[in-house]
Amino acid sequence: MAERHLSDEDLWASLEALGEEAGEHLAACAACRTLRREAEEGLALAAEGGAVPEPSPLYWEAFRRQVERRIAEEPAPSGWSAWRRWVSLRSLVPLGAAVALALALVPGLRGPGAPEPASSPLPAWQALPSAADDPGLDVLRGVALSGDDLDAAAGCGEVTECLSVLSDEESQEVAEVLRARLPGVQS
Amino acid sequence: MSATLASAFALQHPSLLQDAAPGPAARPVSSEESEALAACRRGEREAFDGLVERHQRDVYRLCYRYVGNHEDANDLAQEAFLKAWRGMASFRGDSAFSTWLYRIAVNTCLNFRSARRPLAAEEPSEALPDRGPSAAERLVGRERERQVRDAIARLPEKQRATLILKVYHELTHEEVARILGSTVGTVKANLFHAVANLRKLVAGTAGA
Repeated sequence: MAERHLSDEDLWASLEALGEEAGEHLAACAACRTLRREAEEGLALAAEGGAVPEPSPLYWEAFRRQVERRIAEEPAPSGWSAWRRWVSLRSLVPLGAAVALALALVPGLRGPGAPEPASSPLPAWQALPSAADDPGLDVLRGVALSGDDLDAAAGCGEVTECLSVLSDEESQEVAEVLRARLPGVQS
Repeated sequence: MSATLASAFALQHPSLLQDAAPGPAARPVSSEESEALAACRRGEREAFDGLVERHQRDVYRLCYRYVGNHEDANDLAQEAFLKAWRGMASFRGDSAFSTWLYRIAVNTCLNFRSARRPLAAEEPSEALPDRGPSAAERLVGRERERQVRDAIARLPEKQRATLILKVYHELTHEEVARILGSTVGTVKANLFHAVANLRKLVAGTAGA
């Protein structure tokens, strides 16, 4: 008798076809014989529990229709949509590149008399800070408070007009007035 | 134990020990099925209907053996086919379509059992063929069937799946291994444990 007992795999194999080596071991080993007998009994039991009641023939037709209906409600299988998406994206990239290259190399393809795109200026409102954050407004407000004297001196009707036409010397004078009236303002 | 005993057992239960003939999961792919598979991969839903018709009984029976009642088996079998449809693009034909489908069905059943209700065994239908000459014998037979089904339901998942696929669906060891993502050696070992545990469980039930 071999020293090692039969493995589970060997014992199952012995139920299917008893090899010479396993047969010799089983003949001499009571423990393995017991295991094999129990497995045989279990297998015989299993044969008793596998019956499945057969549904009516109409059931199978209904089953198929049901599967068909549920599939019809399904979106396209994800594998296909992913594949199609991949194909469409992959094909668009070289296509777009080819079109761009053709437009760049062949001026006639761009159309007759197509104007060069002009760089659009930045809108003024985008370049200005908000009123709350603009320290210049305080300066203008201060100027407006003392506008009577300046208006009289320059002979203009609006403060803003006066400011825009001041000479360097006049601007310097305005700055001194502002410094005197608004001590917090830096020169 | 002699070779004679094994041979006698094989004669008594010929379907249980056969390994040479391919089971339902290894049905050769006919040219019709090949065309249907190609059409399914192109997204033609009608082609899938033929595949459902061809495999619905095997898939239903597999599911029934897992859950033990018609309603759940019906739901699971439908779910298995839906999953197959959804994953059709990933089926490359490395194995038989039926093997791939069985694998989906087994996984569906395993997920169902672990995620939802416990198995609810159902009394066998009156339409089952008579198993004995007398009503008393039929009654005993049904009781034994119920005990065996309950015991199978209590087997560990791998052992249960292996037993169902090998013994009831008559697949080869290689097919079972492919379906369960296992090896032939493991399948044989699981089968041995399954039948040994089945015997103990039934004996425990009968003695209770």
